[in-house]
Amino acid sequence: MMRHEVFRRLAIGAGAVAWTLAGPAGAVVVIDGFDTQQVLQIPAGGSGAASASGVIAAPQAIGGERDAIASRDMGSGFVDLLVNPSGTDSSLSFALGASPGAATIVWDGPDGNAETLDSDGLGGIDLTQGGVNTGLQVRARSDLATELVFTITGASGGVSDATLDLPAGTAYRQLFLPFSAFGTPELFANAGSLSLQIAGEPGLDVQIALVAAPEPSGAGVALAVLAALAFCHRRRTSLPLG
Amino acid sequence: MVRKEVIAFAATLVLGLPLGASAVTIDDFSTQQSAVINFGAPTPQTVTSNQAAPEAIGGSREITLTRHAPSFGTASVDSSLSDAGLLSLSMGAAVHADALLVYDGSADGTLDAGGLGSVNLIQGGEDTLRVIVRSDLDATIRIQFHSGSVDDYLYIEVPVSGQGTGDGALQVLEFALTNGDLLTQGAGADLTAVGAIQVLLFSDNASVDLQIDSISTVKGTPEPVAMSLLGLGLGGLVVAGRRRLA
Repeated sequence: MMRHEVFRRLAIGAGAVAWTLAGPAGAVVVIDGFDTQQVLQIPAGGSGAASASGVIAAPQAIGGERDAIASRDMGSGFVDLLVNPSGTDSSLSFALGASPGAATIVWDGPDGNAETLDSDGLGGIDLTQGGVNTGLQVRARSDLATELVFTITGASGGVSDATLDLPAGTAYRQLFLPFSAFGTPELFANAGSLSLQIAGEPGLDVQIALVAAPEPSGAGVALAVLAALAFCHRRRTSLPLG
Repeated sequence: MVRKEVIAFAATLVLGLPLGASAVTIDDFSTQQSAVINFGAPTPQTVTSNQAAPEAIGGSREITLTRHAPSFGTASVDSSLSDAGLLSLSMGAAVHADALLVYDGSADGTLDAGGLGSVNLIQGGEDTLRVIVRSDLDATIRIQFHSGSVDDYLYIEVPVSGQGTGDGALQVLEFALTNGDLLTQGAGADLTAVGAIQVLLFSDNASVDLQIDSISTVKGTPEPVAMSLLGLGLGGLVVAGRRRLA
Protein backbone atom coordinates (compact mmCIF):
# COMPACT_ATOMS: atom_id res chain seq x y z
CA MET A 1 0.00 0.00 0.00
CA MET A 2 1.39 3.39 -0.95
CA ARG A 3 2.32 5.77 1.84
CA HIS A 4 -0.18 8.47 0.77
CA GLU A 5 -2.96 5.88 0.71
CA VAL A 6 -2.21 4.88 4.29
CA PHE A 7 -2.21 8.53 5.27
CA ARG A 8 -5.52 9.10 3.51
CA ARG A 9 -7.19 6.17 5.25
CA LEU A 10 -5.89 7.31 8.60
CA ALA A 11 -7.23 10.79 7.95
CA ILE A 12 -10.63 9.44 6.95
CA GLY A 13 -10.78 7.28 10.06
CA ALA A 14 -9.80 10.16 12.29
CA GLY A 15 -12.29 12.35 10.52
CA ALA A 16 -15.10 9.90 11.07
CA VAL A 17 -14.30 9.69 14.76
CA ALA A 18 -14.02 13.45 15.12
CA TRP A 19 -17.23 13.98 13.13
CA THR A 20 -19.05 11.54 15.38
CA LEU A 21 -17.79 13.29 18.47
CA ALA A 22 -18.45 16.75 17.16
CA GLY A 23 -21.72 16.15 15.37
CA PRO A 24 -25.02 14.80 16.61
CA ALA A 25 -23.54 13.69 19.92
CA GLY A 26 -22.78 17.33 20.71
CA ALA A 27 -25.17 19.98 21.97
CA VAL A 28 -26.77 20.78 18.63
CA VAL A 29 -30.45 21.67 18.92
CA VAL A 30 -32.27 21.29 15.62
CA ILE A 31 -35.02 23.89 15.47
CA ASP A 32 -36.35 22.48 12.20
CA GLY A 33 -34.89 20.28 9.49
CA PHE A 34 -38.03 20.81 7.36
CA ASP A 35 -38.69 17.13 6.79
CA THR A 36 -42.40 17.11 7.54
CA GLN A 37 -44.40 18.09 4.49
CA GLN A 38 -46.50 21.22 4.76
CA VAL A 39 -48.11 23.15 1.95
CA LEU A 40 -49.63 26.62 2.01
CA GLN A 41 -50.58 28.38 -1.18
CA ILE A 42 -52.25 31.57 -2.21
CA PRO A 43 -52.98 31.02 -5.89
CA ALA A 44 -52.41 33.65 -8.53
CA GLY A 45 -55.50 35.68 -9.23
CA GLY A 46 -58.01 37.31 -6.99
CA SER A 47 -57.07 40.74 -5.86
CA GLY A 48 -55.44 42.38 -2.89
CA ALA A 49 -54.32 41.12 0.49
CA ALA A 50 -54.78 37.44 1.25
CA SER A 51 -53.37 34.91 3.68
CA ALA A 52 -53.23 31.20 4.38
CA SER A 53 -52.16 29.43 7.54
CA GLY A 54 -51.61 25.91 8.74
CA VAL A 55 -50.42 23.78 11.62
CA ILE A 56 -48.72 20.45 11.31
CA ALA A 57 -47.23 17.96 13.72
CA ALA A 58 -43.52 17.94 12.97
CA PRO A 59 -41.69 15.50 15.20
CA GLN A 60 -38.28 16.63 14.03
CA ALA A 61 -39.02 20.28 14.79
CA ILE A 62 -38.54 21.83 18.18
CA GLY A 63 -41.76 21.59 20.19
CA GLY A 64 -43.09 18.93 17.82
CA GLU A 65 -45.24 21.27 15.78
CA ARG A 66 -44.71 23.86 13.08
CA ASP A 67 -47.09 26.75 12.52
CA ALA A 68 -46.94 28.58 9.21
CA ILE A 69 -48.60 31.65 7.77
CA ALA A 70 -48.25 32.90 4.20
CA SER A 71 -49.59 36.25 3.14
CA ARG A 72 -49.86 38.50 0.14
CA ASP A 73 -49.77 42.21 0.83
CA MET A 74 -51.39 43.35 -2.40
CA GLY A 75 -51.81 42.50 -6.07
CA SER A 76 -52.67 39.14 -7.56
CA GLY A 77 -49.43 37.18 -7.64
CA PHE A 78 -49.16 33.73 -6.13
CA VAL A 79 -47.55 32.89 -2.79
CA ASP A 80 -45.98 29.48 -2.12
CA LEU A 81 -44.92 28.32 1.32
CA LEU A 82 -43.91 24.71 0.81
CA VAL A 83 -42.04 22.41 3.16
CA ASN A 84 -40.64 19.29 1.52
CA PRO A 85 -43.54 19.07 -0.94
CA SER A 86 -41.89 16.38 -3.03
CA GLY A 87 -41.06 14.26 -0.01
CA THR A 88 -37.43 14.13 -1.09
CA ASP A 89 -36.25 17.69 -0.52
CA SER A 90 -36.06 18.56 3.16
CA SER A 91 -36.33 22.31 2.88
CA LEU A 92 -38.75 25.16 3.16
CA SER A 93 -39.50 27.11 -0.01
CA PHE A 94 -41.05 30.54 0.13
CA ALA A 95 -41.85 32.06 -3.23
CA LEU A 96 -43.64 35.19 -4.30
CA GLY A 97 -45.05 35.77 -7.76
CA ALA A 98 -45.55 39.32 -8.94
CA SER A 99 -46.77 40.62 -5.58
CA PRO A 100 -45.12 41.42 -2.25
CA GLY A 101 -45.82 39.12 0.65
CA ALA A 102 -44.53 37.46 3.79
CA ALA A 103 -44.04 34.12 5.49
CA THR A 104 -44.04 33.42 9.18
CA ILE A 105 -42.89 30.14 10.70
CA VAL A 106 -43.57 29.62 14.40
CA TRP A 107 -42.29 26.97 16.76
CA ASP A 108 -44.35 27.39 19.90
CA GLY A 109 -45.24 23.87 20.93
CA PRO A 110 -48.30 21.76 20.22
CA ASP A 111 -51.00 24.41 20.52
CA GLY A 112 -52.70 23.55 17.24
CA ASN A 113 -53.07 27.21 16.45
CA ALA A 114 -51.16 29.11 13.80
CA GLU A 115 -52.86 32.41 14.34
CA THR A 116 -52.10 32.87 18.03
CA LEU A 117 -48.63 32.74 19.50
CA ASP A 118 -48.23 30.56 22.57
CA SER A 119 -45.36 32.54 24.04
CA ASP A 120 -44.38 29.84 26.55
CA GLY A 121 -45.36 26.85 24.42
CA LEU A 122 -41.83 25.43 24.34
CA GLY A 123 -41.88 25.28 28.13
CA GLY A 124 -38.56 26.98 28.81
CA ILE A 125 -36.27 24.81 26.72
CA ASP A 126 -32.61 25.79 26.94
CA LEU A 127 -31.45 26.45 23.39
CA THR A 128 -28.02 27.39 24.71
CA GLN A 129 -27.58 23.90 26.21
CA GLY A 130 -26.09 25.28 29.38
CA GLY A 131 -24.39 28.15 27.64
CA VAL A 132 -22.56 25.99 25.09
CA ASN A 133 -24.53 27.07 22.04
CA THR A 134 -24.05 30.68 21.12
CA GLY A 135 -26.33 31.32 18.21
CA LEU A 136 -28.63 30.16 15.45
CA GLN A 137 -27.27 28.46 12.36
CA VAL A 138 -29.28 28.77 9.16
CA ARG A 139 -28.66 27.03 5.84
CA ALA A 140 -30.44 29.01 3.17
CA ARG A 141 -30.37 30.59 -0.26
CA SER A 142 -32.39 33.25 -2.04
CA ASP A 143 -32.58 34.67 -5.53
CA LEU A 144 -32.88 38.19 -4.13
CA ALA A 145 -31.18 39.64 -1.10
CA THR A 146 -33.53 39.50 1.84
CA GLU A 147 -33.73 39.40 5.61
CA LEU A 148 -34.67 36.61 7.98
CA VAL A 149 -36.10 38.01 11.19
CA PHE A 150 -36.05 35.75 14.23
CA THR A 151 -38.10 36.49 17.32
CA ILE A 152 -37.65 34.72 20.65
CA THR A 153 -40.01 34.84 23.58
CA GLY A 154 -39.07 33.73 27.05
CA ALA A 155 -41.17 31.16 28.88
CA SER A 156 -41.21 33.56 31.80
CA GLY A 157 -41.91 36.57 29.64
CA GLY A 158 -39.89 38.86 27.46
CA VAL A 159 -39.45 39.11 23.71
CA SER A 160 -36.51 39.96 21.51
CA ASP A 161 -35.69 39.83 17.82
CA ALA A 162 -32.73 40.02 15.47
CA THR A 163 -32.23 40.09 11.73
CA LEU A 164 -30.08 37.84 9.62
CA ASP A 165 -29.12 39.16 6.20
CA LEU A 166 -29.41 36.59 3.44
CA PRO A 167 -27.49 37.69 0.32
CA ALA A 168 -28.68 36.77 -3.15
CA GLY A 169 -27.19 33.67 -4.71
CA THR A 170 -27.93 30.27 -6.16
CA ALA A 171 -25.84 28.25 -3.69
CA TYR A 172 -26.86 27.45 -0.15
CA ARG A 173 -25.10 29.53 2.50
CA GLN A 174 -24.32 28.66 6.09
CA LEU A 175 -25.28 31.70 8.12
CA PHE A 176 -24.85 32.30 11.82
CA LEU A 177 -26.87 34.64 13.99
CA PRO A 178 -25.33 34.95 17.45
CA PHE A 179 -27.68 35.07 20.41
CA SER A 180 -25.84 38.24 21.36
CA ALA A 181 -27.44 39.95 18.34
CA PHE A 182 -30.74 39.78 20.21
CA GLY A 183 -31.49 42.51 22.71
CA THR A 184 -32.19 39.93 25.42
CA PRO A 185 -30.05 36.91 24.60
CA GLU A 186 -30.76 35.22 27.94
CA LEU A 187 -34.24 34.37 26.62
CA PHE A 188 -32.61 31.53 24.68
CA ALA A 189 -31.83 29.76 27.94
CA ASN A 190 -35.52 29.69 28.83
CA ALA A 191 -37.28 29.75 25.46
CA GLY A 192 -41.02 29.90 25.17
CA SER A 193 -41.29 30.23 21.39
CA LEU A 194 -39.21 31.00 18.36
CA SER A 195 -40.50 32.43 15.12
CA LEU A 196 -39.04 33.33 11.74
CA GLN A 197 -40.44 35.97 9.44
CA ILE A 198 -39.51 36.67 5.85
CA ALA A 199 -41.06 39.71 4.22
CA GLY A 200 -40.39 39.98 0.55
CA GLU A 201 -40.71 42.02 -2.57
CA PRO A 202 -42.29 40.59 -5.72
CA GLY A 203 -40.32 37.72 -7.16
CA LEU A 204 -38.58 36.70 -3.95
CA ASP A 205 -37.68 33.00 -3.86
CA VAL A 206 -36.11 31.67 -0.68
CA GLN A 207 -35.15 28.15 0.39
CA ILE A 208 -34.17 27.21 3.93
CA ALA A 209 -32.80 23.76 4.62
CA LEU A 210 -31.98 23.99 8.31
CA VAL A 211 -32.41 26.13 11.38
CA ALA A 212 -30.42 24.94 14.38
CA ALA A 213 -28.59 26.07 17.47
CA PRO A 214 -25.23 24.38 16.98
CA GLU A 215 -22.36 23.85 19.35
CA PRO A 216 -19.69 26.21 17.95
CA SER A 217 -16.74 24.08 18.99
CA GLY A 218 -18.28 21.02 17.42
CA ALA A 219 -18.86 22.84 14.20
CA GLY A 220 -15.29 24.09 14.29
CA VAL A 221 -13.85 20.62 14.75
CA ALA A 222 -16.05 19.27 11.98
CA LEU A 223 -14.93 22.01 9.60
CA ALA A 224 -11.30 21.40 10.47
CA VAL A 225 -11.69 17.70 9.72
CA LEU A 226 -13.35 18.46 6.41
CA ALA A 227 -10.48 20.79 5.52
CA ALA A 228 -7.97 18.06 6.41
CA LEU A 229 -9.78 15.56 4.21
CA ALA A 230 -9.82 18.02 1.33
CA PHE A 231 -6.08 18.59 1.77
CA CYS A 232 -5.44 14.84 1.73
CA HIS A 233 -7.54 14.48 -1.38
CA ARG A 234 -5.56 17.18 -3.16
CA ARG A 235 -2.28 15.55 -2.21
CA ARG A 236 -3.52 12.23 -3.48
CA THR A 237 -4.73 13.56 -6.81
CA SER A 238 -1.55 15.59 -7.34
CA LEU A 239 0.77 12.62 -6.82
CA PRO A 240 1.97 10.78 -9.93
CA LEU A 241 0.22 7.52 -10.76
CA GLY A 242 1.82 4.33 -9.61
CA MET B 1 -33.64 86.70 -32.52
CA VAL B 2 -36.63 85.20 -30.83
CA ARG B 3 -37.63 83.76 -34.17
CA LYS B 4 -34.29 81.91 -34.43
CA GLU B 5 -34.80 80.38 -30.99
CA VAL B 6 -38.21 79.22 -31.99
CA ILE B 7 -36.82 77.69 -35.14
CA ALA B 8 -34.05 75.94 -33.19
CA PHE B 9 -36.53 74.62 -30.67
CA ALA B 10 -38.83 73.43 -33.40
CA ALA B 11 -35.90 71.71 -35.07
CA THR B 12 -35.14 69.94 -31.82
CA LEU B 13 -38.65 68.71 -31.63
CA VAL B 14 -38.83 67.69 -35.24
CA LEU B 15 -35.46 65.95 -35.36
CA GLY B 16 -35.27 64.54 -31.89
CA LEU B 17 -38.63 63.68 -30.49
CA PRO B 18 -40.58 61.94 -33.23
CA LEU B 19 -38.15 59.04 -33.18
CA GLY B 20 -40.08 55.98 -32.17
CA ALA B 21 -43.41 57.66 -32.69
CA SER B 22 -44.46 55.29 -35.47
CA ALA B 23 -45.06 51.83 -34.06
CA VAL B 24 -46.58 48.46 -34.81
CA THR B 25 -47.69 46.89 -31.57
CA ILE B 26 -47.18 43.16 -31.27
CA ASP B 27 -48.68 43.05 -27.78
CA ASP B 28 -49.20 45.44 -24.89
CA PHE B 29 -50.86 42.89 -22.62
CA SER B 30 -54.01 44.73 -21.63
CA THR B 31 -56.32 41.71 -21.90
CA GLN B 32 -56.45 39.43 -18.87
CA GLN B 33 -55.21 35.89 -19.37
CA SER B 34 -53.38 33.35 -17.24
CA ALA B 35 -51.76 29.94 -17.20
CA VAL B 36 -50.71 28.42 -13.89
CA ILE B 37 -48.96 25.24 -12.84
CA ASN B 38 -49.43 24.68 -9.13
CA PHE B 39 -47.00 22.76 -6.97
CA GLY B 40 -47.01 19.06 -7.62
CA ALA B 41 -45.01 16.11 -8.78
CA PRO B 42 -41.53 17.08 -10.00
CA THR B 43 -42.21 15.85 -13.50
CA PRO B 44 -42.47 18.10 -16.56
CA GLN B 45 -45.78 19.90 -16.66
CA THR B 46 -47.36 22.00 -19.40
CA VAL B 47 -50.48 24.13 -19.47
CA THR B 48 -51.90 26.26 -22.23
CA SER B 49 -54.22 29.22 -22.48
CA ASN B 50 -55.50 30.38 -25.84
CA GLN B 51 -57.86 33.29 -26.18
CA ALA B 52 -58.83 36.46 -27.99
CA ALA B 53 -56.70 39.48 -27.16
CA PRO B 54 -57.80 42.46 -29.25
CA GLU B 55 -54.69 44.49 -28.43
CA ALA B 56 -52.34 41.79 -29.69
CA ILE B 57 -51.33 41.47 -33.30
CA GLY B 58 -53.76 39.12 -35.01
CA GLY B 59 -56.31 39.60 -32.22
CA SER B 60 -55.39 36.54 -30.18
CA ARG B 61 -52.69 35.24 -27.87
CA GLU B 62 -51.74 31.62 -27.27
CA ILE B 63 -49.72 30.90 -24.13
CA THR B 64 -47.91 27.67 -23.32
CA LEU B 65 -46.26 27.43 -19.89
CA THR B 66 -43.84 24.60 -19.21
CA ARG B 67 -42.32 23.71 -15.86
CA HIS B 68 -39.26 21.52 -16.12
CA ALA B 69 -38.26 18.60 -13.90
CA PRO B 70 -37.40 18.38 -11.09
CA SER B 71 -39.21 21.60 -10.20
CA PHE B 72 -42.30 21.24 -8.04
CA GLY B 73 -43.25 24.79 -6.98
CA THR B 74 -45.67 27.12 -8.67
CA ALA B 75 -45.05 28.59 -12.10
CA SER B 76 -47.40 31.10 -13.59
CA VAL B 77 -47.70 33.46 -16.50
CA ASP B 78 -50.45 36.01 -16.80
CA SER B 79 -51.41 39.09 -18.69
CA SER B 80 -52.86 42.02 -16.74
CA LEU B 81 -53.72 39.91 -13.69
CA SER B 82 -50.74 40.22 -11.39
CA ASP B 83 -50.09 43.72 -12.70
CA ALA B 84 -52.36 45.67 -15.03
CA GLY B 85 -50.87 46.12 -18.48
CA LEU B 86 -47.99 43.72 -17.89
CA LEU B 87 -47.24 40.13 -18.79
CA SER B 88 -45.88 38.48 -15.63
CA LEU B 89 -43.86 35.27 -15.70
CA SER B 90 -43.23 34.02 -12.16
CA MET B 91 -41.37 30.94 -11.02
CA GLY B 92 -41.39 29.69 -7.45
CA ALA B 93 -38.28 28.85 -5.48
CA ALA B 94 -35.95 26.58 -7.46
CA VAL B 95 -38.50 26.31 -10.26
CA HIS B 96 -37.32 26.18 -13.87
CA ALA B 97 -39.97 27.15 -16.39
CA ASP B 98 -40.44 28.85 -19.72
CA ALA B 99 -43.34 30.46 -21.52
CA LEU B 100 -44.20 30.59 -25.21
CA LEU B 101 -46.51 33.23 -26.65
CA VAL B 102 -47.86 32.68 -30.15
CA TYR B 103 -49.50 35.29 -32.36
CA ASP B 104 -50.91 33.71 -35.49
CA GLY B 105 -54.39 35.15 -35.78
CA SER B 106 -56.16 32.28 -34.06
CA ALA B 107 -56.57 30.77 -30.62
CA ASP B 108 -56.56 27.13 -31.59
CA GLY B 109 -53.32 26.20 -29.87
CA THR B 110 -51.37 25.32 -32.99
CA LEU B 111 -48.86 27.39 -34.89
CA ASP B 112 -50.20 28.62 -38.23
CA ALA B 113 -47.10 30.21 -39.76
CA GLY B 114 -49.25 32.18 -42.19
CA GLY B 115 -52.16 32.87 -39.90
CA LEU B 116 -51.60 36.61 -39.64
CA GLY B 117 -51.95 36.88 -43.41
CA SER B 118 -49.14 39.12 -44.51
CA VAL B 119 -48.50 41.76 -41.91
CA ASN B 120 -45.96 44.46 -42.73
CA LEU B 121 -44.11 45.15 -39.48
CA ILE B 122 -42.06 47.93 -41.05
CA GLN B 123 -44.72 49.61 -43.11
CA GLY B 124 -44.17 53.00 -41.53
CA GLY B 125 -40.40 52.81 -41.72
CA GLU B 126 -40.07 51.03 -38.40
CA ASP B 127 -36.58 49.62 -38.16
CA THR B 128 -36.30 48.85 -34.47
CA LEU B 129 -37.72 46.15 -32.24
CA ARG B 130 -38.60 47.54 -28.84
CA VAL B 131 -39.22 45.42 -25.76
CA ILE B 132 -40.07 47.09 -22.46
CA VAL B 133 -39.26 44.63 -19.71
CA ARG B 134 -37.86 43.99 -16.24
CA SER B 135 -36.61 40.87 -14.49
CA ASP B 136 -35.16 39.98 -11.12
CA LEU B 137 -32.64 37.56 -12.66
CA ASP B 138 -30.99 37.27 -16.06
CA ALA B 139 -33.34 35.90 -18.69
CA THR B 140 -33.76 35.82 -22.44
CA ILE B 141 -36.65 36.70 -24.72
CA ARG B 142 -36.52 35.04 -28.12
CA ILE B 143 -38.76 36.53 -30.77
CA GLN B 144 -39.36 34.69 -34.04
CA PHE B 145 -40.94 36.08 -37.19
CA HIS B 146 -42.42 33.60 -39.66
CA SER B 147 -43.63 34.19 -43.20
CA GLY B 148 -45.66 31.09 -43.94
CA SER B 149 -43.14 28.44 -42.92
CA VAL B 150 -42.84 26.93 -39.46
CA ASP B 151 -39.23 25.95 -40.05
CA ASP B 152 -38.01 29.16 -41.66
CA TYR B 153 -37.91 32.36 -39.69
CA LEU B 154 -35.98 35.40 -38.57
CA TYR B 155 -35.32 35.67 -34.87
CA ILE B 156 -33.66 37.76 -32.23
CA GLU B 157 -32.65 36.81 -28.71
CA VAL B 158 -33.13 39.72 -26.37
CA PRO B 159 -30.97 39.44 -23.24
CA VAL B 160 -32.70 40.81 -20.18
CA SER B 161 -30.36 41.72 -17.36
CA GLY B 162 -31.51 40.74 -13.89
CA GLN B 163 -31.98 43.75 -11.69
CA GLY B 164 -31.69 41.95 -8.38
CA THR B 165 -35.09 43.17 -7.39
CA GLY B 166 -38.61 42.15 -8.21
CA ASP B 167 -40.00 45.62 -8.74
CA GLY B 168 -37.22 47.47 -10.52
CA ALA B 169 -37.71 50.04 -13.24
CA LEU B 170 -38.89 48.85 -16.61
CA GLN B 171 -36.05 48.76 -19.13
CA VAL B 172 -36.49 49.82 -22.73
CA LEU B 173 -34.50 47.42 -24.90
CA GLU B 174 -34.15 48.18 -28.60
CA PHE B 175 -32.66 46.21 -31.46
CA ALA B 176 -32.21 47.00 -35.11
CA LEU B 177 -34.44 45.04 -37.46
CA THR B 178 -32.29 45.80 -40.47
CA ASN B 179 -28.58 45.77 -39.69
CA GLY B 180 -27.88 42.28 -38.46
CA ASP B 181 -29.43 42.02 -35.01
CA LEU B 182 -31.89 39.57 -36.55
CA LEU B 183 -30.65 36.04 -37.12
CA THR B 184 -31.85 33.70 -39.82
CA GLN B 185 -33.14 30.17 -39.50
CA GLY B 186 -33.56 28.27 -42.74
CA ALA B 187 -34.79 30.60 -45.45
CA GLY B 188 -35.63 33.28 -42.94
CA ALA B 189 -38.72 35.43 -43.28
CA ASP B 190 -39.95 38.68 -44.77
CA LEU B 191 -40.74 41.41 -42.25
CA THR B 192 -43.08 42.99 -44.78
CA ALA B 193 -45.10 39.78 -44.94
CA VAL B 194 -45.18 38.25 -41.49
CA GLY B 195 -47.54 35.34 -40.94
CA ALA B 196 -46.85 34.48 -37.31
CA ILE B 197 -44.79 35.66 -34.36
CA GLN B 198 -43.57 33.52 -31.49
CA VAL B 199 -42.13 34.89 -28.27
CA LEU B 200 -40.26 32.51 -25.96
CA LEU B 201 -39.32 33.57 -22.43
CA PHE B 202 -36.63 31.42 -20.83
CA SER B 203 -33.60 31.44 -18.59
CA ASP B 204 -30.81 29.24 -17.30
CA ASN B 205 -31.78 30.50 -13.86
CA ALA B 206 -34.47 29.07 -11.65
CA SER B 207 -36.82 31.34 -9.75
CA VAL B 208 -37.02 33.99 -12.47
CA ASP B 209 -39.69 36.66 -12.21
CA LEU B 210 -40.01 38.67 -15.39
CA GLN B 211 -42.51 41.24 -16.61
CA ILE B 212 -43.06 42.65 -20.10
CA ASP B 213 -44.86 45.91 -20.68
CA SER B 214 -44.97 45.71 -24.46
CA ILE B 215 -43.35 44.41 -27.62
CA SER B 216 -43.46 46.56 -30.73
CA THR B 217 -41.60 47.70 -33.79
CA VAL B 218 -40.81 51.40 -33.83
CA LYS B 219 -39.29 53.87 -36.19
CA GLY B 220 -35.60 54.60 -36.13
CA THR B 221 -34.15 54.76 -32.68
CA PRO B 222 -30.47 54.24 -33.00
CA GLU B 223 -29.76 55.99 -29.72
CA PRO B 224 -26.53 57.78 -30.71
CA VAL B 225 -28.24 59.44 -33.67
CA ALA B 226 -31.23 60.44 -31.62
CA MET B 227 -29.05 61.90 -28.91
CA SER B 228 -26.81 63.73 -31.38
CA LEU B 229 -29.84 65.28 -33.07
CA LEU B 230 -31.17 66.32 -29.72
CA GLY B 231 -27.74 67.70 -28.87
CA LEU B 232 -27.61 69.67 -32.10
CA GLY B 233 -30.97 71.19 -31.35
CA LEU B 234 -30.02 72.10 -27.81
CA GLY B 235 -26.70 73.46 -29.06
CA GLY B 236 -28.59 75.67 -31.42
CA LEU B 237 -30.65 76.97 -28.56
CA VAL B 238 -27.52 77.79 -26.57
CA VAL B 239 -25.91 79.60 -29.50
CA ALA B 240 -29.07 81.54 -30.13
CA GLY B 241 -29.25 82.45 -26.44
CA ARG B 242 -25.64 83.68 -26.41
CA ARG B 243 -26.15 85.74 -29.52
CA ARG B 244 -29.17 87.31 -27.92
CA LEU B 245 -27.24 88.21 -24.76
CA ALA B 246 -24.35 89.60 -26.79
